[in-house]
Amino acid sequence: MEGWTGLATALRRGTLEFCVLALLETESRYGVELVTQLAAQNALTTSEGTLYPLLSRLRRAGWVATTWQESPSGPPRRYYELTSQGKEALAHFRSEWVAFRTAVDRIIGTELT
Amino acid sequence: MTQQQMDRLDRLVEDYLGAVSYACADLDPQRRDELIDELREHIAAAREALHEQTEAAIRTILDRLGEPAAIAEEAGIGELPRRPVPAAADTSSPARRSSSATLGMVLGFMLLVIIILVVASLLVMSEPPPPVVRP
Repeated sequence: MEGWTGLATALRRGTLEFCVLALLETESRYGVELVTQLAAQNALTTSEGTLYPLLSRLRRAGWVATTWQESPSGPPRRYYELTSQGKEALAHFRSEWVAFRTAVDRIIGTELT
Repeated sequence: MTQQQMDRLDRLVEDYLGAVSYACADLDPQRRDELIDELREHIAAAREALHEQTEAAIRTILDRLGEPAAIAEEAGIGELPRRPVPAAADTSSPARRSSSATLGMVLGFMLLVIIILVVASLLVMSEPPPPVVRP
């Protein structure tokens, strides 16, 4: 583990995908919009360009689909939207996450009282 | 802004995308092209939001996208788990069952062959020895 940066990267890995799915849960978004939403959470901040390989994985897993939508200014934009499989994956992650978080909190003493 | 200045800004963007493409040399070409397209769209959308197209503003957009090597590393990460939900996990069972069924059939066949060989050799040994023909 290469210091604290490495820790943050390791924690993000495996969770960021599902944060992206959650951001797409209520509405489809285009890339810059997703990046802005993620950047609002400091703990999740990573270089913006890495979002696109991540979106590519989500697309290949069938969890996210892309559509083209007109932009008020400039050329049409690629929008990312959650598929029904993506919704299932997110629901599954939510229950796994709660169990995982609870177990870690109990052991390391960070339970909310 | 003059055309020359605009060309210079476009070249900054293309140089960056070229560096990402180079860093992703090991990636499947179709996926690499797709990644470059998405990055190009990202830059175009970010530029639309700028009040003024300056070199500093473009460099900020590119800096925020990050090091080409970091993007390439992320692009090299494998597939997501294909069967994330319990309902979908069941679809793996028939495949596993059929492969164990095949294994069972092969083992059964081998056992059958061994039994036949053993029985045949026992029969051969239990037969009375052929009469010895004396000259």
